[in-house]
Amino acid sequence: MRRIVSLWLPLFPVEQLMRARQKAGEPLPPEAPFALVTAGAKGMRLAAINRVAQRLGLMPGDRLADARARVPDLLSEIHDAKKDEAALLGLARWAERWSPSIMVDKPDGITLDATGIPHLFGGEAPFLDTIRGRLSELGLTVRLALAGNPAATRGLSRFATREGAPVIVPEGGERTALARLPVAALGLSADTVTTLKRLGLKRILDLYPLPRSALARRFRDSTLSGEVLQKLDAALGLTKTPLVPLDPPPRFAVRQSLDEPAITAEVVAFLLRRMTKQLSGQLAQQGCGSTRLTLKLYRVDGSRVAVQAGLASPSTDSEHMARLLEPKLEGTDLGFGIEAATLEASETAAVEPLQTSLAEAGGSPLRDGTALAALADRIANRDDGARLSAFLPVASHLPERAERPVSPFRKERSPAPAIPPDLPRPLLLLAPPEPIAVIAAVPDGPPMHFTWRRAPHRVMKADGPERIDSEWWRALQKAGPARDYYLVEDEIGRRYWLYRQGLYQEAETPPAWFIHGLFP
Amino acid sequence: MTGFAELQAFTNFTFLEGGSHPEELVGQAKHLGLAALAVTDRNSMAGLVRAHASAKANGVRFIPGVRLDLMQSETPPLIGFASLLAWPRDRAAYGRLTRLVSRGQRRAAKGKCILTLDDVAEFQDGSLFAIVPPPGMPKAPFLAVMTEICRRIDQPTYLAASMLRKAGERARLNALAEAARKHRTPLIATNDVLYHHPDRRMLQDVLTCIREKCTIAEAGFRLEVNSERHLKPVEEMLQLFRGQEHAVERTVEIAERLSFSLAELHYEYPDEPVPAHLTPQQHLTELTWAGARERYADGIPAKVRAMLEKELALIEKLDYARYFLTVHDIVRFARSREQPILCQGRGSAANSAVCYCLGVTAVDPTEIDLLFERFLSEERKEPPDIDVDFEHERREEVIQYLYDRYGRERAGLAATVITYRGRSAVREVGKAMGLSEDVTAALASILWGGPSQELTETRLKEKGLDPGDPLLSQVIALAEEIIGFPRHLSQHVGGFVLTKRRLDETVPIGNAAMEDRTVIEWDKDDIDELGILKVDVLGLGMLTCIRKCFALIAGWHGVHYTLATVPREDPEVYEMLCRADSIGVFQVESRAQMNMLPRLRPKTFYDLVIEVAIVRPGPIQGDMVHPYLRRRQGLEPEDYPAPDPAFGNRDELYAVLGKTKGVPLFQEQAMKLAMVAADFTPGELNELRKAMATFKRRGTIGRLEQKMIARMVERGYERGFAERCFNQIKGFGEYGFPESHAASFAHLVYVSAWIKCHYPAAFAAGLLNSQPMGFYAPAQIVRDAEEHGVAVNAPDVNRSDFDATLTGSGPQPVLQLGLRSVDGLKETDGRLVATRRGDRPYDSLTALRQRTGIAVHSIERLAAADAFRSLGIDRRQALWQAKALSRAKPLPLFAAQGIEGQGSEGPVTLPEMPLAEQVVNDYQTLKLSLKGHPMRFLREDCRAIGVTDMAALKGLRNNALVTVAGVVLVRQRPGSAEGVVFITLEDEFAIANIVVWPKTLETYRAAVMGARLMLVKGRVQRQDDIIHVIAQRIEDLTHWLARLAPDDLLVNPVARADEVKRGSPGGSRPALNRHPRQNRIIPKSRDFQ
Repeated sequence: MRRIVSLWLPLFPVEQLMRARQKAGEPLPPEAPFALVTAGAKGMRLAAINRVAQRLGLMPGDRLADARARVPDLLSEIHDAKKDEAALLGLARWAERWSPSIMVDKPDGITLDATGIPHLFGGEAPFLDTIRGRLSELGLTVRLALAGNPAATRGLSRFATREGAPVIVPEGGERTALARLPVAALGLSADTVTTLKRLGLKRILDLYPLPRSALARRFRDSTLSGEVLQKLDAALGLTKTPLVPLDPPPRFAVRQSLDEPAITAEVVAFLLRRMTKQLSGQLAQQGCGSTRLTLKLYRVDGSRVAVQAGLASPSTDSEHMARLLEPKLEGTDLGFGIEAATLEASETAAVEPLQTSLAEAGGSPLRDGTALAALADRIANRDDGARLSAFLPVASHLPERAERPVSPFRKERSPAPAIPPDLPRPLLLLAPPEPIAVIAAVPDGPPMHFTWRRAPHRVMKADGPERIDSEWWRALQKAGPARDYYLVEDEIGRRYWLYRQGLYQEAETPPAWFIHGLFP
Repeated sequence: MTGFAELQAFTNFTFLEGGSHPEELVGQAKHLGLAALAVTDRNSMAGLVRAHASAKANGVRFIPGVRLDLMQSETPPLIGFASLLAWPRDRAAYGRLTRLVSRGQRRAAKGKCILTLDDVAEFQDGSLFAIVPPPGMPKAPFLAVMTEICRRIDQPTYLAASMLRKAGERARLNALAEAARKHRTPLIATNDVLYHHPDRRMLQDVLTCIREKCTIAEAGFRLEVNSERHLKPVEEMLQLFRGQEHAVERTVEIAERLSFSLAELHYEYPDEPVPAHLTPQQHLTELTWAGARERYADGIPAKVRAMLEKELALIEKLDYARYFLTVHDIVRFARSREQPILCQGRGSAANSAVCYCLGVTAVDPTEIDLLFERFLSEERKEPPDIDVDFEHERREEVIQYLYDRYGRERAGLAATVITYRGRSAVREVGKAMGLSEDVTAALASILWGGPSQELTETRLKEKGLDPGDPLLSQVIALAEEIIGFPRHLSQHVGGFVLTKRRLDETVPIGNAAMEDRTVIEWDKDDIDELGILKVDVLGLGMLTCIRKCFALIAGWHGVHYTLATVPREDPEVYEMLCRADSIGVFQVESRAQMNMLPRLRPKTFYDLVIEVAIVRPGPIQGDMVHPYLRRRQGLEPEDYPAPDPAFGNRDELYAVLGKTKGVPLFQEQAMKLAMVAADFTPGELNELRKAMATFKRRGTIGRLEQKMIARMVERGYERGFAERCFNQIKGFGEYGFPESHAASFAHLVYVSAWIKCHYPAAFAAGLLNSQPMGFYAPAQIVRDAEEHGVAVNAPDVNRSDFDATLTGSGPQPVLQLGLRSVDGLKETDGRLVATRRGDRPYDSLTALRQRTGIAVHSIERLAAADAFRSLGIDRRQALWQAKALSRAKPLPLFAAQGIEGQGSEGPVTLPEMPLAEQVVNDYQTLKLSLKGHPMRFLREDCRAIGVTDMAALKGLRNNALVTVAGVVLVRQRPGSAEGVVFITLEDEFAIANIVVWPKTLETYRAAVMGARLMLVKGRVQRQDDIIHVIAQRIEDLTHWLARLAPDDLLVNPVARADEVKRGSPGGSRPALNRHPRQNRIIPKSRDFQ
């Protein structure tokens, strides 16, 4: 006999957000009314609200402006339905501990097939208590029902439960259990529910005595099948509704067993090359590249050792993968020998297939732009990326803010922002800029002579000024005056990037001069 | 000493790009001593008039121009080709440029413009051009574009260079000079101006973010690198263009060649309406006297004759005959339709004897004593202003007539400049500055109404925001700066500009957001500035209603009325109004007006004029209402403050305020007051009028305030009186109500009140058939009709037309509600049901389906609305049958035999629907019920908790404690009432007016703002037969509504209180997320700010 559990998380979006905020160290004040809002046709509307807001009489669907008129201190945040969906899916996977057959019941429910499982937990009631206990620990409110089919449990969890009291319907008891529930518990469309109510058919039991033909004829869904009848039959268990379990997460892993234990690194390296080839084939087939590799070696004594490597850009290149892991094998203790190994692409990302050159079959890594990434991987994997940075361009006019260092294994693959064309920028930027002594024409002429690190330089040529203003929104009160940059060349042809902050006539104190960079 | 003329500048009419008002640019140009200033907005001339007017006032040389951003071709994909500056040398060249821009705008969607070099070549004659190079070094593609431009444009062409302190600019300048030499397009210096002063950089950055829909932190290279794009003086330009000084000097030469001024745009009235053999004045005179003979069948009174002669003489002197003829022509068109369109003029010149005789208005000039000269002043060279209201459902016909008669090139709607206001400013600036939605919303709610600095700080703290936070103060400062910035152009509600010659040679015409509408780029102030004719063609719901009422009266009673023939000064009508029995009556049906009526006690037409004008922010803010009422009731003497005898006539104010007992109530009186009592010159008066109209936009009002008060005090008036007068002027600034408008409206007040008084059934039907309009929902209109003894029948497929009708054979008609009351029923389906019925009633749902062919869905709507009672079935049975109808189109073969496609079935007994539930269903499907009031079914419950019914309110003494409960009809929080909320509650007996003071509001805010069914405990306050309940405690009883249609569906028996708290289930969503309000039992109240 089938036994199905339905979990309804009535406050899921809000509680989900509260959990996230808690984790981020910015918890929501628990006593403040809070709402998640979405943009509707006529302005923002409440999508979900917390208990405080409920107690104040607010409702999902209210206009935010109306809600604010009634509860002026209502906090709100934009609702991210996609995020919720992902979180619900994550929760469902987490719930796989209780049943292998789990279905996400969007937007705020999970259904699981519990056939043959509750006895492991000491019976149906203790089983539901366990689930409820674990979810409460996560900060989630849950309503639970257990019955013989998904449709009935779904309706029961939403309409028959009260907080703290899961509903368990004994085998074959659905007809009685559902009888006094509102027709909405069948999961009908809103229009159908209204019509049924108008007809005086308010509870499910009101439908029982009606001729099936009369129902079938009157209530059809968009596919013209008898909506009410179908849903009723499903809930009463007259038709069988299958549970469609979750797709397994994509996994890229290969395994190799050895007849005879390998005791040298060379053999393991040979093994590794075989495995990277297979893995690379798997990855390429799915259009994925690996950004993290885990090699697990199973020793004959039953213990296990793992080595990992990170990649700067997703790769399917088996040679490259092998080269990253190989050096790490040298220091690995193989014990009394390795009898099996698995290689797993523990993190992956989509890769754009690159056009390889026709002339050089197989493509040249130097030409197709992956060579630099491969080099970076090799250097960085020596010390897990601690000494290597990549620079990402940043859209800022301020030279010192125009790039930022990131880990070579950065996850973000955002396209680089456009760089304004034709800007003379030095190869070496001094951080911070160093003060220099300058002789220049007043008020805003180019420098004629400057002294940097006690060495005098005579300016032979100067181009400028290029005026760069402060980012006023960053330092709201102390936004300094604009800088006037000059590209200058001294008597022996060295080129410098100097700037003057401020103008001679404007400030009481004379403007300061700095050197900010060197040109090749 | 050489000079410099800035020839390239964006105003903020290059939306979200230009960072300064045209006036600011002009002011700065004057300050810097520029030789001239040109405004060249991107593909637009919307800012020119403002700059022109300001330049005229400041003595700055102003050059109108435009920047043309050209595309490779006129069809997508649109690829930018080049940018040109164009300045016209004479009137004809200007006209070509406006046509050019018009063409580009008509071609593109609203707010966009698509122009190509071909277009420019076609309209190039008489203009000067300059090529604007792209940023960076000039490269081959640009040089090719230059060659192409030089080949196609044979007018003098220049190359515009800017030195903005960017990298590599010196080299670029040299390269441009070289390119200029090669192409013989001399180099000119411009600063490519975005704002008048470098301080605007921050605001301009914010505008960029709003435009790019990003935050300032994300904006990056979309922002300017520095703040150099401001107006600069000649010395700085010379220094920047060192080595190319001639480029600076050349701008002055060019400016000298550009002598065209917008002042040359002489306006000429169209002469369509004038027959060939007559002068306009002759034609107008003829029409006027002919009209007069018609109006006064018993002979034209001597007084009217004298008025007409005087007015015609003045019209001739000012040469306005064609204006009056144009208005007459529009009105004549409306009247000559097969089904005439009801219309009425209002506005400064409309209430003249001439307009009365021309039929433009139905207000008899002898009834009110308006002086024509007051509206057509000789000093002010402004065109007279007549607005004409038409039935709102048919205004489009008039508009299309105007387009047909004058052509799209000669007729256009005036624009309305939509500007940033308090809230929108804070929202957009906050978003651009990266504030969260929460904080922006909180800020926006605080800044509403613009309180003082201190108040802002306390309110910020109340909202939990830190006033010291630099980011917040930055946002507030920027938001204040952006207030008044134009955001986009919209169409004026109905201001039509008509010209003799092509309108698109005066101003660019673009597409409106609405289909079939074209809009000029200038708004009403711009048009006034240039003296261009505008006729406002407006839509008025009440005219639709009155026309429908007249038709119903003619149909049932056989009596024909028009606006002009309704019997005048009927005492019964005034008695009715004095009782505040005015639901549905034009303008005086609001609660504030209903409170005023019994106090003002109108007895004559002119009292109605005052009634219309007095309940307005102007008189209320100026504290003029109570003095007027006291004087009217004889509680206070009429008193006319007088100046010191040394300064003038002691009676000078009597002449201005005599009609209104010494209290200024009308806009004109406030103006006249400034003129007489504060000695304002016509120029100052004009300034005041403009400052009033644009009160929020520019800060000139403060200076004028000081000036006016100081002058009045100096002339011997009391300071307090002077301040009150000025406050009123400020109030008028927002909602000005001149006497002439009030007079026209008062006429409609009278006519609608007269219909209500004598033909209540027709009046209710007319109102219902013109919905949505007015203040009240159909439920109140029907209830009011019933209270006036009208029998009402519910909608029924065998009795109703689509519209409400008058039926019955008794002495008084019965109001038969129409199928239009059925919620969600399509108009075409409703009409089909009525027409296909003819004299043969439908005997079954199947028959109705076969004869009309309407969708089953529509039949279900009719069934749910209980419209099959005439078949002997109630809504439940009808719905059961309707649901069984086959969804497929009826088959002709079966239809002929009268058979439904499917076999019959056994009878099914459905539970009977209790009356309370019927009422609930009526409200859901018809928004009203004739079966009973929801409160009737809750009366027992109410009694149990000591609720008094509202009929008993009348018997209570002043200050008595009372508890009332009812359905919330209207919630109002007028801006002039400082946070007081007015609520109208209704029960099955009467309505009650609730007043909620701010303190009570704060305690019960959620209930006040959210309840649909409300319980109020408070004290009775009586004044002149008006009863209010001053709320002390308020409770939200909305959940009681669930008792009307008890579903009682909870499986587990729970405590009653718990059930109530959680609401009873029944919707499609489970209990936890539901609240009774979602069970839409009664329509939502109407809430007004």
